Amino acid sequence: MFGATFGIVAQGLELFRKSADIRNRNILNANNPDYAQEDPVIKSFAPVGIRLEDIIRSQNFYYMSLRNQKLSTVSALDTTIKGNSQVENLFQEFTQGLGGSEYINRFFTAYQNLMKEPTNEGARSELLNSAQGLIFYLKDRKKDMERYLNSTDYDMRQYINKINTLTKKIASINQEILTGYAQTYARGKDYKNLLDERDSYLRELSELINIQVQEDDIGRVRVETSQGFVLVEDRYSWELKYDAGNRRVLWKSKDGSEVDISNLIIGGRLRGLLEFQQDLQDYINQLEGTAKRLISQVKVPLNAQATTNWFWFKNVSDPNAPLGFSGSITFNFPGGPVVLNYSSTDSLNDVVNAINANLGGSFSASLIQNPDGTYTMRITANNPSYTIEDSNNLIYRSEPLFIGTGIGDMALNPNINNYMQNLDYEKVDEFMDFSRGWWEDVKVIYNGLVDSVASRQRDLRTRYDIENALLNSLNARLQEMQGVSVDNEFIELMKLQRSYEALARTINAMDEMLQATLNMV
Amino acid sequence: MKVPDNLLFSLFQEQDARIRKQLAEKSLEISTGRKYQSISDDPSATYKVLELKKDISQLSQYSKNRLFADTTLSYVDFNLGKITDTLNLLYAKTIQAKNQVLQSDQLMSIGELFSASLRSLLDRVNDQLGGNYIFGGASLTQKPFDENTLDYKASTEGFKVWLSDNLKVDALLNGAETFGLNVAISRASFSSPATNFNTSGALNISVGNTLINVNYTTTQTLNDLVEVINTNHSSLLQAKVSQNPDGTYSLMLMPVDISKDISVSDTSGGDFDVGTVDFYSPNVLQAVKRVGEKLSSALYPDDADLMLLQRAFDRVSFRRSQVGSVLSQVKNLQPLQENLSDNLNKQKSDLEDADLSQSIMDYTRYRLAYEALMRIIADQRDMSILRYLR
Repeated sequence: MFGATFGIVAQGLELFRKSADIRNRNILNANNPDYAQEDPVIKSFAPVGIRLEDIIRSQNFYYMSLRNQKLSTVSALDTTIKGNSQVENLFQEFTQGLGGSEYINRFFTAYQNLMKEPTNEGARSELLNSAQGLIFYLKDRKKDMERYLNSTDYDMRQYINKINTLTKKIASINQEILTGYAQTYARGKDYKNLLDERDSYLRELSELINIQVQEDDIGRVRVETSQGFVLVEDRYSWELKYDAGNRRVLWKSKDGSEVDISNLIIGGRLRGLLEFQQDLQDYINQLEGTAKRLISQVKVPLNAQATTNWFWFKNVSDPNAPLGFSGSITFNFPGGPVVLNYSSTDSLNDVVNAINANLGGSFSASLIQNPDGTYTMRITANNPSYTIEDSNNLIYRSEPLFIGTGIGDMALNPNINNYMQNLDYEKVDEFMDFSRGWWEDVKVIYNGLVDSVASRQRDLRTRYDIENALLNSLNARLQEMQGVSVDNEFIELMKLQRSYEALARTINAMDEMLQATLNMV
Repeated sequence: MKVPDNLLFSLFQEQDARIRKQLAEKSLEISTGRKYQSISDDPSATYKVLELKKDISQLSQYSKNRLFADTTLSYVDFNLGKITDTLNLLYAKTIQAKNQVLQSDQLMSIGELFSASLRSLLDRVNDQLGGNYIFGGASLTQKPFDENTLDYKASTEGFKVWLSDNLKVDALLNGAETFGLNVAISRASFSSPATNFNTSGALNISVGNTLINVNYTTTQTLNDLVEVINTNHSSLLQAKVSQNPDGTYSLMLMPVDISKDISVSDTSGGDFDVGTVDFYSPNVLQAVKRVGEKLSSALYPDDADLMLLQRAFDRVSFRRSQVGSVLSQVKNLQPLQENLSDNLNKQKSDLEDADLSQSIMDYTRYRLAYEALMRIIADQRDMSILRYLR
């Protein structure tokens, strides 16, 4: 007589236990940021009792996608900031004696000091020491930055391996979701723990690369990065590859071809590293610019014992462009003097050609391309006693203090010790005048570099602060939607406990009723 | 509204990290005394500090240059003072010799004084400071005056140093200019100033930018020519008959204006046209030597000698006044440069250095905020159903 009732009660007790399990699971995951609160949906199934209709997962996929997109942006900024912080630490411009500007200032004050007292041995050695110090500084900073650049290759590989692992896992979860759905369809579709795992992987993936995710009815996802390059679809995943030689990220299609997607990646740590690599390359180029300008400009005035080379002291960017001013060059030699006039429409190349055409036997002129891309003229006298005067004071017997094509091979001129003993004392005041222009030029380039590092880092930090605040806000919203309140869960548990106790008591009552009925027999 | 536990903890963590970061920044600011720890803290301030560092370095170099110029010019001034003292003494001795009746040995004795003074003058003009000859101009290491010929051998350019962006001064003087005399003495000499010239000719005289031509004829003597010049060109020139140490006579010309240069040539083929250089300009040393040699030869000094020594004294005094003027300019720069240096350093300090009272106030504020947050967390922890479940 109570067969059906016992069945209903037993089913109810089992459902309450199941519901309590779900509540326990919620409490267990209260501090898990990827966990979405679950609520059992128990429906009356009259006349046969109740059943677990569904387990609702309190999740808003749209907000989660928004959060993940923001996470990509913040992660990219975070990575670039961390990299740039390393670079920033190289430029200790506020610490006395450590900043590059101090090396530059020390070098040029030493140069000017020597031009003030060219016979002073102390001033000579100070110039050589400060020049060597400046070379070491530039080389060390470049090496530091190249080391950072090389370390990004390692990080890139790590991140890409991680991305490939995650996409494989997500593809595998897609498969498991399908199986879980099929297995638990009739028992409340209790495979949602797989979705938490999926969300966790999606969050991790978003941290590494910007993704767009589409979810189907049962929770499987299709993941793609920018411009539709698919990373996961159904149970399949696509791999990324890092080309360290060119510092590019490649997407590997199933037919074996590879597509460069470096410029398409707009978020995640990959984007951050790519940007940092670009920043580093810019900084290295600017540091190179400082060295190249020093090599191209700084010269020392020499007497006839030291050299027969005379240099034009107004570097031009285009050797075929008109000079824009006129003047005359006087060549003093036994067959001379010969005066060569140049007009404002003549180019430096024209002057070179005119010298070679008119003074070929005594002087030879050549166009020299400086490491900084500018051009100058070098006139070599066939005899040390020959001299040259320019009406604009632009030609001097001199040699460069630095040699090389950039930081890599930058060095002091190997003849510098001889040059120091053979300075042209009559020209030092004019070279002191030139040095002010060189100093200003080099300062502008170096300060530009420091400003680039500082402004870039400042900009990144400001953007990070804003984006991170937005991320925190989205996280908070997401937490409000899917997070677990322990207090709420305990209240729900107490309700379940009460219901369970009440239902359990009906078994005793029915048992007593059955006993009474049996006693009547 | 549901408030998940994790959200509360996340919020606390976030705020805790923010306040701790602010506390750490202020602690660093107070401990280092620097407002900025890294260049990105304020890129604009970083840029200004770098500019100021360069300006301060450049100014410091200008100050070193000024000190160098001050030291060398002071020494130059001292030497020029000693030289004028010597020339003054020699001038007095020459007047004495000219106006008194002296025995030849007395004249020769004064000639000895000239000779000793010349050696002293030579030491002065060939003096060095810091390894550089102070009257060698831009040659620096080339001894300026030859000990035998007394000719100037070093650079004809002064050694210049920059004291500011726009000002450069001669710190080491060009001896040729410093001790050169604007006096022209003919190389042609005559046995008597009253003898007629053998061949007529014309003198081309340039005084400063003024050119004059003076003709002479065979009916004139050296005395006549001197009179003609003194009569017709007295505003520009003074002419004298100067007896040479060998007893012959030459024509001596000298601008009235001490600062004007003089050059004389004769290309007419007349008596004064003796070669490529018809007239020479002795320097101070050669002037002293010329008079000294005359005295040593027991010859009385004449008006030309007095005029020559007077001009030597005047020229050196004139140069000394020029040096004094530059030196005064150099010394005036000192307070200007020091003031500018103070200003630049103050600007740099204002940018770089932390305002400690403000930093400590901020630090206290952040610490209070941190304590308040901790209190809230502690209170919040107690607000849980778990407290009531037994």
